[in-house]
Amino acid sequence: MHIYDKLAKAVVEMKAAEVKLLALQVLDEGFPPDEAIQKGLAVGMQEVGRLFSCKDYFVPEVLVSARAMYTGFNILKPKVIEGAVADKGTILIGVVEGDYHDIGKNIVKLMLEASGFRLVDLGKNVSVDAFTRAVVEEKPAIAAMSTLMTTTMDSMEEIVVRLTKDAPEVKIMIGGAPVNQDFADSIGAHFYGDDVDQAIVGAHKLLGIKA
Amino acid sequence: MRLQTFNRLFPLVESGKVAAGPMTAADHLAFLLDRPINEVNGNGELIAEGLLKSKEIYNPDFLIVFADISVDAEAMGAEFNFPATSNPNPKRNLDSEQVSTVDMAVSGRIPELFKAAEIVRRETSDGFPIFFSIKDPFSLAAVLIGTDRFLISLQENPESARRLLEKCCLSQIGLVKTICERGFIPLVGAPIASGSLIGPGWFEKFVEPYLSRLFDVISEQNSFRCIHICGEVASLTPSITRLKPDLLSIEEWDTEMWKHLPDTIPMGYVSTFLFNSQDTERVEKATIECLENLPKPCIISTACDLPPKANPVLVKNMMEIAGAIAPPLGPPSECAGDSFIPLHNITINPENSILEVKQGANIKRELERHGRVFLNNCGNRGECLSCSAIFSKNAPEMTETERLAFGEHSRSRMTCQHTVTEDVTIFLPPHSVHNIKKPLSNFRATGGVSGWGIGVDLGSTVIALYLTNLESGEVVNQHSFLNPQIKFGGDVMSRLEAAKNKKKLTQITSHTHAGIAKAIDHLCKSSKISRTNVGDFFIAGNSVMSHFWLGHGGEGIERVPFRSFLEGQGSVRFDPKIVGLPSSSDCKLCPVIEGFIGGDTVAAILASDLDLMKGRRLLIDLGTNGEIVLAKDGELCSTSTAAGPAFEGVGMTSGMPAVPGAIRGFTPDGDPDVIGGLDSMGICGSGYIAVIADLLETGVMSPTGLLEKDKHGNRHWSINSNVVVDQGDIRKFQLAKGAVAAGVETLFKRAGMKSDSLDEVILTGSFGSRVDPVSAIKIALIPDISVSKVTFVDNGAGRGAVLCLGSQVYQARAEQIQKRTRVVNLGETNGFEELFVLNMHFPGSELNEI
Repeated sequence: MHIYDKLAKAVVEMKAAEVKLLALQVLDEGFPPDEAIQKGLAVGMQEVGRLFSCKDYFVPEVLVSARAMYTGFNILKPKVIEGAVADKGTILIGVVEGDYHDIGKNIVKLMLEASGFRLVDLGKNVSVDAFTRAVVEEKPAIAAMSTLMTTTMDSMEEIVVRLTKDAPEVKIMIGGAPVNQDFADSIGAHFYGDDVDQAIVGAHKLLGIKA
Repeated sequence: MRLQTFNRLFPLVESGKVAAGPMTAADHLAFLLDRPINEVNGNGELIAEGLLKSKEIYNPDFLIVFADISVDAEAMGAEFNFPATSNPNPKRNLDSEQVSTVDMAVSGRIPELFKAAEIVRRETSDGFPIFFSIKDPFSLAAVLIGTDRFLISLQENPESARRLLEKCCLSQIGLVKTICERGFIPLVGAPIASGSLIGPGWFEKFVEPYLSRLFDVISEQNSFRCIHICGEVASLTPSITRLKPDLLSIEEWDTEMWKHLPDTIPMGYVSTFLFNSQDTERVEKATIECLENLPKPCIISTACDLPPKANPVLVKNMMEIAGAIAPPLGPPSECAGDSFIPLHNITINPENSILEVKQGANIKRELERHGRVFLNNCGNRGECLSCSAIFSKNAPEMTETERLAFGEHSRSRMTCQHTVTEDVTIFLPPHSVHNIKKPLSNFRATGGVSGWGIGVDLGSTVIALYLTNLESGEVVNQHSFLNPQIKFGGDVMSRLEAAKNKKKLTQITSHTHAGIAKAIDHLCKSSKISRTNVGDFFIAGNSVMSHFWLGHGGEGIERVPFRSFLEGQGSVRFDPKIVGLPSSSDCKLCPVIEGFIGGDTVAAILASDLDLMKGRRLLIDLGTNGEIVLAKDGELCSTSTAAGPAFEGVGMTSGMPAVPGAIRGFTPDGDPDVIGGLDSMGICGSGYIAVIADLLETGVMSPTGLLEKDKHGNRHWSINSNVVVDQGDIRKFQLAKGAVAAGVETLFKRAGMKSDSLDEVILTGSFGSRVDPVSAIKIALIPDISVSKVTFVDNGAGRGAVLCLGSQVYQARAEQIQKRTRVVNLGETNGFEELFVLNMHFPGSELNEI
C-alpha cells in the first residue's frame, strides 16, 4: 500500500498516532508534503465525509478523524513550499446572531477545508455587523452562514442585504435545519445546501471550479 | 362588522371561522327519505324529517326550510301540477290584474313550512340557525304570471308590472314579518332577478326598490338581510352595494364586487352540477377555490339548491373540506331509507370483528353504535385524541391536527374526524378507553380552604385542567384537549416565528383563552358546579406558553441568551374575565425562571419537593426541550438543552405517541411490550430508550451507535414489517441523548459534584408511558446509579399547579424557586460542545476526548 493510501486509511480509522508516524515517514523518505496532504490526508477526510453522509459515521467519528488529520497536517504544512498547495479560495463561515448551535457548521467547515478551501471561522452568535465587517476585511470568495433555530433566520436576510451593498462580489451560501431553497431564494442567497456534500458541491459551483 | 353579524348568525360556530352547509330543497330531501317528491313537498312533518336527516348526514351549521320556487306563487293563487318525480310545474298562471295581496303565512303550503321549521327548531340545539326561504317580489311575480309574460310586460306595460310587483311586495312584507316574529331567519331567494336574465338596468328599476323595502322590514324586525341571487351578479354591483345585505349567497364569484361589500357575509358557490357526478376531486377543488376566494368569515355552500339526486358522499366531501371546524356529531342514526349509499367494512383488531357501515358514516359514531365507549373530551372536534385508533389498512388522509399531533408518517387517526369511504382495518385495544393523561391517583391540593379551584398544565401540545375541591384537596375531574396553538406550528419555535406577526399573535392568545374558557365550562358542567364558584385558578406552562398567555411574543426567548421578561416577576395575576371566571377569582400564572426554564419546571420542582428536600437530587424533563434541575440540599441549579423531539418518537421512522400499538419497552421474557394489545405498530419515546438499550446490550449496535448490517447489507433492525429502527433513527436519538447527558454533566461540574453522590434521579416528561430506568442507565441517558434511586413524577406541571391552588405556602415557594434557581447557559459554557459530542456515544465507547 502506498504511503498516501496509508495516511488516508489512518485518517478514516481515526488513528492520530499512526497519522503522526506516517507524516514523519513522508518527510523522511522525501515525498512532497503538498502531495501527501492532497492525496493522503484530504482523500481520507473526503472518505470520512462520505461515511458521514451515509450515516456510518456520526459527529464524534468525524471530529476524531479530523483530529487525526490535523496531526498530520501540522507536521506536513510547514514543509510545503509557499504556493505549492493550490488554494481554491477563501470561505468565511459562521452561525448567525441569536444561535449557539454550531456542530453542523463545524463539520461543514472541516469538509470544505479538506476539499482545499481556506476557511475563516467566525464562530457562533455572530452579529450582522461583525459578519459584514469580517467579509469586507477578509474579502472571501464565499460567505457561508447557518442557523438551527427558526427564530434567527431573519438575521440571515439582514446579512444578505448588507453584503449586497458592502461586498457585492461575495457569493453567499446558507444552510441549517429550518432553512430551505425557497428561503434562500427569498432572501437572495446564491446557494442553499441541505447537507455537507451539497455544501462542497455548492462551493465549487459558486466559484466555477472543479471538485 | 361582518364578523359581528357572523357571530350573531352562527353562535355555535367559533368566532371568525367558516360555516358550511348545502342548500337543500324538498326534492333532495325526498331523495334522502326515499319518498316521492310530491309526498314530501307539501308535508311539514316530512320536510322536517328530511331536513333533520340531511343535518345528520351532512352536519351543516344551519338548515334552510325550503320546498321549491312555486310555494310563494301558489300561496298567491297560481295553480301547479305536483308530479312524483320532479318539482311542481305551472298548471295555470294568473293574469296580472287578477292578483291580490294575500296573507301568505296562512296560504298554500306555507303553514306546512312553518310546521317544518318548528319541528326542526325543537329537534336542534338552541341557537342553531334556521333559515326560512321566500322569493323576492320580482321572482314571485314572474312565477305567478309566467316569466315570459312578466318580462314582456316590463317592456310594454311597466305600470301594470309595477302594480303586480307592489302586490307581491306587500304580501311578502307580511310573510317576512311572520318569519321574523316566529324567530326564523328569512332568506330571500331571487332566482329570476338574476344579472344574466335581466341585466343591471331592470334590476335597479324593478328588483332593487321592492327588495329594499323588504330588507327595511327585516331590519326593523332586528333580523338579517339575507339574499340568494342566481347566475351572474357582478353587473349588479351598484344595486347590491346599496341594498347592503348581511348575507349574500352567490352562484358565481366576482372579486371586484366583494371589494364593495366589506360588511356582507359571502355564501357559496360550489357548483351544484358537480354533485351529480362521482367526481370527488372536482368537488374538492371547487370547495377549496371557494375557501380561498370568499372573504372570511364566510359560508361554504352549494351555488344553488342541490339537484334532487345529488350524491351525498360528494356533499359530505364539500362539508369535510369546508369544515376545519367540524360541528359536533349528531345523535346516532337509525333511519332507514338510504339504501343508495354503498356499504363498507370496518375491521377491528385485535378481536377481528367486522362492522358493516354505510359509506360516509362517521367512524367514531359507528364504533359507539356498536358499543365502544370513548372518553369524549372535546365534543368530537378532533382536539383531544381520546378516540384515536391505528389504521393498519386504508388510513384516511390526515387532518392537519393529526399530522402535528402524531407525526407525518403515523397511521393513528382520531376516529371522530373521519368517515368511511372504503374498507378499513383499525387497531383498537379491548375496552379502549385511553386518555392522554394518567389517571388522577394521589394527585391533590393542600386543602383546608373553601370553594373550588382549577389547576392547569398549559402544555405546548396538550392542555390539561384539573378541577379541585379546595376543602378536601381532592381533584374531582379533569379535562384535556389539544393546544389550539398547534395550528400556528407544531413546535414552540415555529409558533414563536408565527407570533412575530401581530395578528397571529393576537389569535394565538385569544384561541388559547377561548379554549381554556370552553374547557372550564365543560369541567364545571360535567361536575355540576357553577363556574362562579371557581375561586382559584393557577396555570403552569413553559415560558413561551406563559408569554403567549399574556399576549406577548418571543421577546428575548427566541434568541441567545434566551431571557424572558417574566424573570423575577413572581406569579403574574391576570384578569379572570379572559377565561370567563368571576372577577373575584384569584387567577395566576406560575413564575418562570428563564426563557427555556418555565413555569412547568417550577411546578415540577414543587411537585417533587426538590426545593425542600435534603440530599442531592436531579430532576430531568425528557422532552423536546430537556430541562434539568440539580438540587443540593434544596439549593437549585438548572439548565435546558435542545434535545429535539426524538424522545417523543417524533421524526423517527417508526415513531408514534404512547398510544395502543406502540412498543413501550420489553417484557421480562424479552418480547416487545406493546401498549394495549398484540401487534406492534411503532415505537413511542420510552420504547426507543428500551429498544436502543437492547440493541446495545445484544451487540446489534456498537457503542458508537453503528448498527450491524442485515442480510441485505442495510443498517436496519426490524421487529416486524411495521416496526424498524434504521441508522438515521439512531443518529437522531444520539443527538437527543448527547444533549441531555452533556447538560447533566455540565451541572455536575458546576456544582463540583460526582454523579455517584446522587440520592435520587427524578424523571418527568411527556412520554405518556414510563421510561425503564434500567435502560436509561444502560445507555447513559441518566447517571449510573442504583435503579432504586430513580423515581418518576407524572404530570409535574399539573400537580404543581394544583398544589398552588388556594395555597399561600406553595405560591410563596414557587416565587422562591424563581428567585433562587441558578441558571447555567450551556451555549456560554466552555467545554459543553465537547461534552455534547462525547456523550453522543454509548457506554463501552473508547472515546474520551475530542
